[in-house]
Amino acid sequence: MDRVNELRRTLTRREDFDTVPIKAPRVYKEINEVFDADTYFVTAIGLYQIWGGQHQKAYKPRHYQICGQAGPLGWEIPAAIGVKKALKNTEPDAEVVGIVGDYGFQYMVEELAVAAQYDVPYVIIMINNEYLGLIRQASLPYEMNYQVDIHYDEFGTDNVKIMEAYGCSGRRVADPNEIRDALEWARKEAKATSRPVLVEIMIEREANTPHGPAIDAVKEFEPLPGA
Amino acid sequence: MVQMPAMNAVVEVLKDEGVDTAFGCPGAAILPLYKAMEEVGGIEHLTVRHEEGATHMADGWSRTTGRVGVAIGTSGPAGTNMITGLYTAMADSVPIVCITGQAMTSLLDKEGFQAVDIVEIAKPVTKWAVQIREAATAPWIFREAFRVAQEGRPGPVLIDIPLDVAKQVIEYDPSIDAPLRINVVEPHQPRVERALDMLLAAERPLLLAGGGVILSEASEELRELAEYLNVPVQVTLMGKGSFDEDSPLYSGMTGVQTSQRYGNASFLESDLVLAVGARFGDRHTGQIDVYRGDRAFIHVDIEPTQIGRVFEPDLGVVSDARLFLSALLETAKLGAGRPRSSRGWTA
Repeated sequence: MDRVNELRRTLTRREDFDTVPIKAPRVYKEINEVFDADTYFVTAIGLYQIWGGQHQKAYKPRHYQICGQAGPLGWEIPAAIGVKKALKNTEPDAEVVGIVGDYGFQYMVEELAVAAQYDVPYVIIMINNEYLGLIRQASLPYEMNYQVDIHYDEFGTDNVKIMEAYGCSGRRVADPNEIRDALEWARKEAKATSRPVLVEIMIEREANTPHGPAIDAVKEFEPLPGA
Repeated sequence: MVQMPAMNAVVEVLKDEGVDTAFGCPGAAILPLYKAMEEVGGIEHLTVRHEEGATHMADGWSRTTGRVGVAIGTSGPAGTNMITGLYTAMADSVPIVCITGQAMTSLLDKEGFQAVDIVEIAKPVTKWAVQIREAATAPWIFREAFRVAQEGRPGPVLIDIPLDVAKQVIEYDPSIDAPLRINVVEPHQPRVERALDMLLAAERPLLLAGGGVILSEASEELRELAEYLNVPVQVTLMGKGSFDEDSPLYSGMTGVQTSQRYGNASFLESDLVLAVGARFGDRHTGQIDVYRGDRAFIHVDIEPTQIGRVFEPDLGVVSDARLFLSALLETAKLGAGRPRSSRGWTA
């Protein structure tokens, strides 16, 4: 397998960014390092789905759950409840993590009340660019940035306060060096409170994911390793 | 003779099918089922704040347990709120059963309150959408729903129950009942042998594991086959997790969005792709001419009508993913002494 391993070793992408605002691949580097192979992840649709597919690692079947074809915004909050309840007899202590975007988060946010009422703990990691980011990116060929910006006030909707309104908790992070501590805090807090806990990570607002029309024409938007 | 309310029989069937948790929201037209859940017991119910949430909970529950998830709502908007969840489950092959209450049969053509034809609305996004018209059919329609949801390519079923039907008493003895048998889709051996011949003849073959590998619990068979023949493995987005990404045989994910640079590069260098339980989604393939190149493709899918749908493979095999992979491994082991595959990757 020399050739396969050579490609795998050399054709990578950077994840070690330490700039503020945070670059999304750094978030996935921290996620890969903090959570082990037994963690169950759910994630849905947006730029973060693409970053996740590029950078997040998976090791076991049923532990990386994604809505692949339909792409319903907001899938994670209820799906995570289903995952956690599914494990009540077999792996009651299993960690469940939903990785969400800031826009999709609000589609099914009311289901946080279900998790709070029935003591369903899990960690929510939000990749927040205060944009309909995937649609802003899709608008690039139209030379358009129209009706995709959802920023207002300081951070747009205060997602930490939304968590608190449902009786849950959350923390906002803007520095890459704070991500790990926040994730560790959220794991402990979810266990201690038996409720969902949010880590809201503010990322670079107009970052793009690598993408393209064909598998030999994927455009990169960040410098490659060694470049 | 055992008599019980039709909805008690339904709850008995649900429990026997492995349902210990249900997600839903009660409403006036579904209360007989809630009465039965209270009376029979054994199913933990979570009251959702939106019926779409219930469908996604049942979805996540099913993706984790491998069993059929259950979401419950009342008539009218409860059912229409479930449509996105049904579509999601249909698209990603997740077996769930959505149960909706319905207005009294006598009101269905009178524009009754919250009386919408949910069966017709749900048909394109379900494997089966059905209204129970005769109370005596209730346990059997539920048995069939669980069979349909799981058999072949899994997916969602919707069962609509008019209030007057739900209130009736029927004959049902749960002590002498069991789930219906699910038809197993075994591969045709000559096609397994052809697939093996093509795989062994290839210089730089790849195994491509889709969501079907997870649905059929085939990860172990995939690993054994890959290691025995020394063939690198890629996954699709839906197949992510089916193969340990720390394995030296893992060669990433191909695609125009969710992909690794090394994934696309190794795919482009391959001369044969054995795709198992994958459907060649457009975000995976990108432009089809580039994706296909001069490579040979073997497409294994449990659903016959999937083969040839996106492009014509060089070989199609109708089979459950796990049964195919184990048949291929067994066949490979019988041919001991034949050269192992992947010469081109080590050169």
